[in-house]
Amino acid sequence: MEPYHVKLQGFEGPLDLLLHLVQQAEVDLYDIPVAEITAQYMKYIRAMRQLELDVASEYLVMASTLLAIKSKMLLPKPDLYDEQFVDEEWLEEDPREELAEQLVLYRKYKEASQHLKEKEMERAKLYSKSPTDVDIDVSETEQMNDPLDVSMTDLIQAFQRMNQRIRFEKPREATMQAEEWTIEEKMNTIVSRISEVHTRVSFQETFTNGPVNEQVTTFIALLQLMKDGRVSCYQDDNFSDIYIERRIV
Amino acid sequence: MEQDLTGIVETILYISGDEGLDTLRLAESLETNQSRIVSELKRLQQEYEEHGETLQIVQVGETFKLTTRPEFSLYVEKYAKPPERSVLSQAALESLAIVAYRQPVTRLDVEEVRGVKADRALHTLVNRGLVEEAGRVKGAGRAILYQTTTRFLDVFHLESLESLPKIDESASDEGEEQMDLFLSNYKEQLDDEKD
Repeated sequence: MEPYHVKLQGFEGPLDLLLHLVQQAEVDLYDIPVAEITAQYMKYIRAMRQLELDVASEYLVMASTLLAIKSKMLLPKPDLYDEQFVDEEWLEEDPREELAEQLVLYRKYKEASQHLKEKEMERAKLYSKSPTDVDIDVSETEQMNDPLDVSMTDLIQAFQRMNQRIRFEKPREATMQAEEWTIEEKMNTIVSRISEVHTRVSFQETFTNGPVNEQVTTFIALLQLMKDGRVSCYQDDNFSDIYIERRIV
Repeated sequence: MEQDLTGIVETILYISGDEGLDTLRLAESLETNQSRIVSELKRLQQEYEEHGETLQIVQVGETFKLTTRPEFSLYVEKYAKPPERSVLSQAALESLAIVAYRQPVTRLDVEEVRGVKADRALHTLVNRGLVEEAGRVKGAGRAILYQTTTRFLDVFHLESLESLPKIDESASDEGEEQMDLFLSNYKEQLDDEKD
């Protein structure tokens, strides 16, 4: 047997996994080599567990179904020479049949979903404009007497159309504000402040009453200076002011 | 009043935009029958095709709308930069296909075909306005029935449910065929064994 490749995320459930295995084995859906496919299926389940993925209970149900079919197929067959068994009733009792039907049905809708996806992509290429704003509706009083024929779906659809419109009407270009304060600049400011006073500066005085952006920039600048070993900070007591001193390297 | 049905229809098409011209509503306002409006729209649709108009008329269920042509979509995207559309998950898409082809269906019907729980997928589809509740199953349990919406037709570029892409409708027939084949093979095998 080929080394198997674990492709876990892509599966939509046990039927999808099984379909994948059967297609890989290039066998007919109505003639699944149950023992082989079951073994591969179990490998996937084990792999999922090893990866500590939460194996959904549906996968386990399918595993037990497969094992049940496998064991049924191992049971000795009735005497084939006995004419009474060679009727359709007995022949139809292929233990794999129900599963095969399920797979065929699933495959059918899986394919259909692909068709739908293509149609959706086709449709996405067509654009139309918003309805022209004309008040076509009847007078308000009349509307109020009318029973409202609006379902939840109508509301949701209306909401979605509105959302789409809003998204579409959003400006295509956004203006970004240039940085007014740079860390470099603030680092220089702190250092020159210290050289001006020749001793130390207070942490609190370092921060002007500027906007938050500026405060943050100053703080980052201070951290950078400390990291570079250009200044050191100390505090005499808990909660007292912090002083910044130039470090002589 | 309706000296020019073509003109009226085309005007309302333009006015309606992406909400689409509601044929029933227009028929009522013109005091004529819906089929007359529909056939006029279809004629106009044909005319647009033949004359190679820039716009086209698309049918969505009972409504018609004026849209751009797919071959120009690239330029629209370049010019207007529409936002990325959120795509449906494979689970939602498969569930939608089941609802579309077998409607009305219950959650259980969908689950049976896909072999996994469908509550989340159906919830997504209802939220997106692609699927709606369509009453309940009679009898015990009264399970909710689901069907597709007009919006579904629009999103998937379908005139009506009849224009759903033909899926292997014969899947069960094919199944039967294969079953027959299987049976005949089996019988042959039995015959061989007897010999």
